[in-house]
Amino acid sequence: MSEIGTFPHPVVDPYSTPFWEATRARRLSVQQCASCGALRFPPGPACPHCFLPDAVWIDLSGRGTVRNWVIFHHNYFRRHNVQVPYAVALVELDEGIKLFTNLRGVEPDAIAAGLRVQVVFEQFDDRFTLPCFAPCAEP
Amino acid sequence: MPVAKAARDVAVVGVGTTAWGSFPEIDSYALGADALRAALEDAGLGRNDIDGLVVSRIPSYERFAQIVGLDLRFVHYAPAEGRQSGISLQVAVAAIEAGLAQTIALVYGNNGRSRRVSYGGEEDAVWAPWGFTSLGAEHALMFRSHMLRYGTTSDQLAEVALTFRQHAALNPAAVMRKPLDRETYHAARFIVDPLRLYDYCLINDGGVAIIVTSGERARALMKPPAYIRGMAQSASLASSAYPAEDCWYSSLQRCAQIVYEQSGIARSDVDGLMIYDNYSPVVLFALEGMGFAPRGESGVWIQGGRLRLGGEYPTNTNGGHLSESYMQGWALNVEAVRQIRCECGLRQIQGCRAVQYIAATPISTTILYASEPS
Repeated sequence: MSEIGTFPHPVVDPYSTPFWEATRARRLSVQQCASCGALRFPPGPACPHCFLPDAVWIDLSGRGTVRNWVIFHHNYFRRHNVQVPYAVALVELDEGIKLFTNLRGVEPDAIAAGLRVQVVFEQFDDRFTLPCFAPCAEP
Repeated sequence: MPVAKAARDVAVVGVGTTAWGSFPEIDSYALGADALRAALEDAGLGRNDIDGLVVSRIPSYERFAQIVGLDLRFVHYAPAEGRQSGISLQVAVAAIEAGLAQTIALVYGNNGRSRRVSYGGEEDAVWAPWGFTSLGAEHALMFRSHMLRYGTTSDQLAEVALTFRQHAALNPAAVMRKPLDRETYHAARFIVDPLRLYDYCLINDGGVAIIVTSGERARALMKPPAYIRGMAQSASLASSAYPAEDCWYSSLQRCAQIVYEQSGIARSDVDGLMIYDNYSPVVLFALEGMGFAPRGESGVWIQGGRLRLGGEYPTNTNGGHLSESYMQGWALNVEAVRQIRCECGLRQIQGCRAVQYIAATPISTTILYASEPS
């Protein structure tokens, strides 16, 4: 499995800066529309539901469910020393936000839809902390 | 809902293709120019007859127009995305119907093999820090959803690649003509599990040109017109930050509701299908969304040769992107025209009068070609 730091580092834009600041503080935070209350991710300048611009940042529980996954046997990142195979999971957080992420403490063969997971924060480099997920016992 | 437009009278009158392969000594401008020359010859037209130009993938339409020396009153450019082939043809038909041009040449050139394009690995993408990249992985994920939800299996999916390879063996121009058996399919390496090597399209160089004009002009030309009787488009871009959970079903259903009514051609009257196949699972999604296979049952439905020549709906008779050539939908539209004209030799669909192109993508498109006008 890949080790953290082998993939390209995050690219920060004006909208995603608070997300990456929050992960450094070990919090998973997303935008919530100040008008209709809908959560949105990836971060952006308007609410896809009501189209109004204002948002606040709220912390999520960090708990979610694996919905889907794939296992890469090919390294597309030519400039990075990525070890294959590695798995990427699509985790749906309990609040409904979905993230592509890497799982810790579970072998690729053991990944299954419905697996309950909890966020774990890993140091990516001296600038970024990456949210990954690990199985949790809680229902 | 958009109103179905009655009695379209626009046709493809010329098609041209280059050889498929690896041509590092030339670029996509030359490939496009060669294809255009072939299409003009096919149509019996000269450059003076062309007053509209649609260019896709070739880096600069302006440079291309300089090279081919056309006097134009309509120009449109489309980027290097597979979805743009169907969209471009629709734009050309609409432009002719609107009187913006009389005869439009659509030209596509792709030297992705020589340029070692890899379709993945963009370092600035949102999910790159977790290693998620490539359209192939998005399709692998959608196929996994289909497996989880409906019990579809990789062995069922194999039928897509095996069928298209069998068709390619009958196509002298196809890149991959060597027979492919089920054992070899399953033994191939994973690229992104659950998809293996033969679920992925080729990457090769080539050029395609298609000439479209009014039915009235078409009827005065040499080749039998391939009438564009119906076309529809539906985007699911609002949810495209993640792979489509419904495998584009609702988007394709919207296209289906329009295209059969508009064309006056029933689904059961379609003689052949050309389905955009960058990755094999998308063929299943297209068949379900367009209403050929019952939802969730495409894996079972395609077994028994339904998509093979001689079957109920021969599909991608040229071998498709998986085995003929990766021309991002353009060569599939050419094959539709050649089938309508009965020019396909050993791979000809007998009594072919209607062929449907379907692309299941974040912007789904369909085009229904027929030998008879509306």
